[in-house]
Amino acid sequence: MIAASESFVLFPLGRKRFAFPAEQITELARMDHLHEFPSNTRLINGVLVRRGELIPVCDIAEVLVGADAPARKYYLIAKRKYDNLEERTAIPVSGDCELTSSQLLPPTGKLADYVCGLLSLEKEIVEVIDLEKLMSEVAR
Amino acid sequence: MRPTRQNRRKIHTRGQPVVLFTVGEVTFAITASAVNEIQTLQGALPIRSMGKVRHSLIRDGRRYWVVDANFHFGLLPTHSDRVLLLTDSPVAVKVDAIERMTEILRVLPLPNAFQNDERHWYLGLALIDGKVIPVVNPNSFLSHFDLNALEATISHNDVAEVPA
Repeated sequence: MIAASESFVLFPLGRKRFAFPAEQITELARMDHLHEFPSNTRLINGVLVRRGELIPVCDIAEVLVGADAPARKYYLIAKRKYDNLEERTAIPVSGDCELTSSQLLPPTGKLADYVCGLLSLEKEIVEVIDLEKLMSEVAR
Repeated sequence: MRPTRQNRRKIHTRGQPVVLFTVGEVTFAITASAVNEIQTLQGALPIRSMGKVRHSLIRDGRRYWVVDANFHFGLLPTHSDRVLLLTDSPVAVKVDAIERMTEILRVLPLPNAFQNDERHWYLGLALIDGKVIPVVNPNSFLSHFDLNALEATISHNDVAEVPA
């Protein structure tokens, strides 16, 4: 039986690309002014103001590619769930993003728990990221 | 009365008065009603204490515990000698400068992505002149437990008070 393909948004962080399930992404936005203030939540750097909405900025590059992540150029705006509430979060990425359809393969080998699957594309294997799992692992 | 072109300008949406203050490079807001007085640190008594309270102040016969806002918010130390004496608790907050007073129309809730101490530090966020300003929770500086512990150090004479 062949599994149906699903849609994913591929995003670069330096030389490597990662993916989120497409239904989780609402928007791709240009870099905007980041409003910073003291907070202790790891990876949350501040907020953006977009059309009157406060959108927290969650920089996951440090976890995915380490401290040497290149400058970010865009924000991927993703949906996150908190109990019954949905909130948008901006994820800084370092280059152009791409929508693709592919079959989600199960994670193999020694991958982090937040990798929920793999995409086998023409020239690369891309890790699909479970943002909630990544954030809960980081919070621990 | 229906607003007409003549009287429309006189109708104001009443905002909440806040005091804007700075600590390092960050501007914060606190509701004006939460602040009893703004003073200098002059006359503060150093106390033998670890952590964010290193001075106490006596004003009008009442003791205030001076909380270092840099320490409280995890900011690098800066030169600060202004204190906000709070209304409902014996707490004074040491800050760098008082920017001004203004009014805010509404306090937006802190996004849920913020999951740590900041949920207690802030009542929410306000948009003032295009900037996002955290509105501090005046009850977050010292808990009842902290206050009792500080009072206990005084009552047990375990405190060295030397005029500053």
